[in-house]
Amino acid sequence: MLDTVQKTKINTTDLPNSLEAVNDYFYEQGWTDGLPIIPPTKERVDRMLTGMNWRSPDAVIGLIPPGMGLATLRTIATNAVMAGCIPAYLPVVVAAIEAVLEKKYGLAHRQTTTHAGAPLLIVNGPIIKEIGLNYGNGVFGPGWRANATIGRALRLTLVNVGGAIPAETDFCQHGHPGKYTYCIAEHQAANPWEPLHVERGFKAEESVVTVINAEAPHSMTENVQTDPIEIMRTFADSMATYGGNNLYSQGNPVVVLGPEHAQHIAAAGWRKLDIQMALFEMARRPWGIAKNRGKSKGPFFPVWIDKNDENAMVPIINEPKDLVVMVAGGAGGKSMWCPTAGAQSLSVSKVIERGA
Amino acid sequence: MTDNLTVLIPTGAPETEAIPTTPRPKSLKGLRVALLDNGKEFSDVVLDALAETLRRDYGVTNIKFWRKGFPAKGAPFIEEMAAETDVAVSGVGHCGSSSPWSVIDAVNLEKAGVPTVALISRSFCPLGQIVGRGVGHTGLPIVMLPHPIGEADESRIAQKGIDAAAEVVRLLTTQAETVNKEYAAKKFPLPEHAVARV
Repeated sequence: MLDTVQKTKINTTDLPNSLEAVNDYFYEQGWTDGLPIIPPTKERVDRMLTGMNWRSPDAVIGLIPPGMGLATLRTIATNAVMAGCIPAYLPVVVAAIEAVLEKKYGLAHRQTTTHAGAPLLIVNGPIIKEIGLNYGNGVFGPGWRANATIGRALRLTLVNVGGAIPAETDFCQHGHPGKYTYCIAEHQAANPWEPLHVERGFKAEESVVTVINAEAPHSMTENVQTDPIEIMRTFADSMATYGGNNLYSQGNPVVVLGPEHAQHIAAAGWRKLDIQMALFEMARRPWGIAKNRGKSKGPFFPVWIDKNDENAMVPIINEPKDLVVMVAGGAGGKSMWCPTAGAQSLSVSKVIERGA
Repeated sequence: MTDNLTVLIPTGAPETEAIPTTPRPKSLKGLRVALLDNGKEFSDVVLDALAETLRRDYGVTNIKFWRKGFPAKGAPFIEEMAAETDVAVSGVGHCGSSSPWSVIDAVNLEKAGVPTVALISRSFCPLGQIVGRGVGHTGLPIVMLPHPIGEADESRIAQKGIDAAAEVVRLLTTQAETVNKEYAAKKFPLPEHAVARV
């Protein structure tokens, strides 16, 4: 591919040669997430860049708001070193940054909003196994280097290159732990239907990252019911809440089905689209209660809701396919629900570039 | 073995041409003043009170209001404004969407040769500053107003415009180089409820 290449001066600083001194300095500058970082020496950054040696280190990936800092492959690699990535992860980090820079993600306002959302990365395709991403037990939790450091590299880049400095220019009122790192993969083998990236028009053999600005995951327990309709009832009640933005501003919220729920639903002959249609119909609340609470309505609040009808039922998505449904996690009767800020920030999927 | 370790700086400096602070007049007397109302709630109350104070205390007679209506986008009439005024005030930014755009309007007016200040409420001054720097203006003067701007008693909202007048006048009539130096070095206080990191 043809890159825009912008020769930029490589800015360096000389610090006392100790891990502690470098970490103290980086922390004081506001360049960390509070956890220790790996010092980004030239050698380490050059090694990181081998992860995408088909592109110039000066390749321009984009300008990151609010500070409109220039993200080149090298500045991203620098942050990836700090986060603890290995070179094989770099293409995922870069694809994620390209994704959040797409207009419909709305990065400028996601970087500075009072809402708690963080970019949730969902990885699909062969790269999952190649780099050892977790998609099973504890998928949202600690323990897997790829998940932990890819999400962290994105966060460090958003702060350091974009200037979204917590409590200074990033006005999130509370944030959530996913602002440290928020990267999962799909459990494709446990998914009875097409994986997320194939549903979104990519080839099965492509590796794809999907980004969605999401709140923290919320557990939906259904240990008792195995009938899909009953499972949907439990989900729907967890998803349509008066404190959740999606009731007022819809968008692309996420359901992460546990493998057992996925099996029960598929065994009854349901397609993935049936889940999306059921939750579109069932995860609703009456207009009479929603109208004067929560938040402003829009930008794509359903026009077909009769605002003179107190009993008109308001959905949390504009149409069934807007609900992101995927499979991940371990054995047990839980699935997860990740609400989002609403339709002002939509999901974006990007192919993860692989070398020749 | 060396005692030093060379590390790369992880930030991405904006790659924009530096915009200098526009030369300022010595006084506002007899000059045309443009007030750019961003359309954010209460901005009109603050700017009306500022206009009144400029008339009463600073001998300004020629004030024109420009209203862009929607706060989260740039003003579409910067060129016309620049042709019709000698100095300008852009505001009031008092949320995450209005503040960046009031700053960008101010930067565009400065680029068009109009000495300008932006009015931003306390919580959003650091954001306004980083946005200004992001588009290349390191020395754009931002007058910090108390936050929140909105209150039940409208006279208290107006008071914020009255109180800002002296600083607005100072920043529109101080030598550009001095203003530039002051604002390039300016460190705004953290927003309310922010805990200092170091």
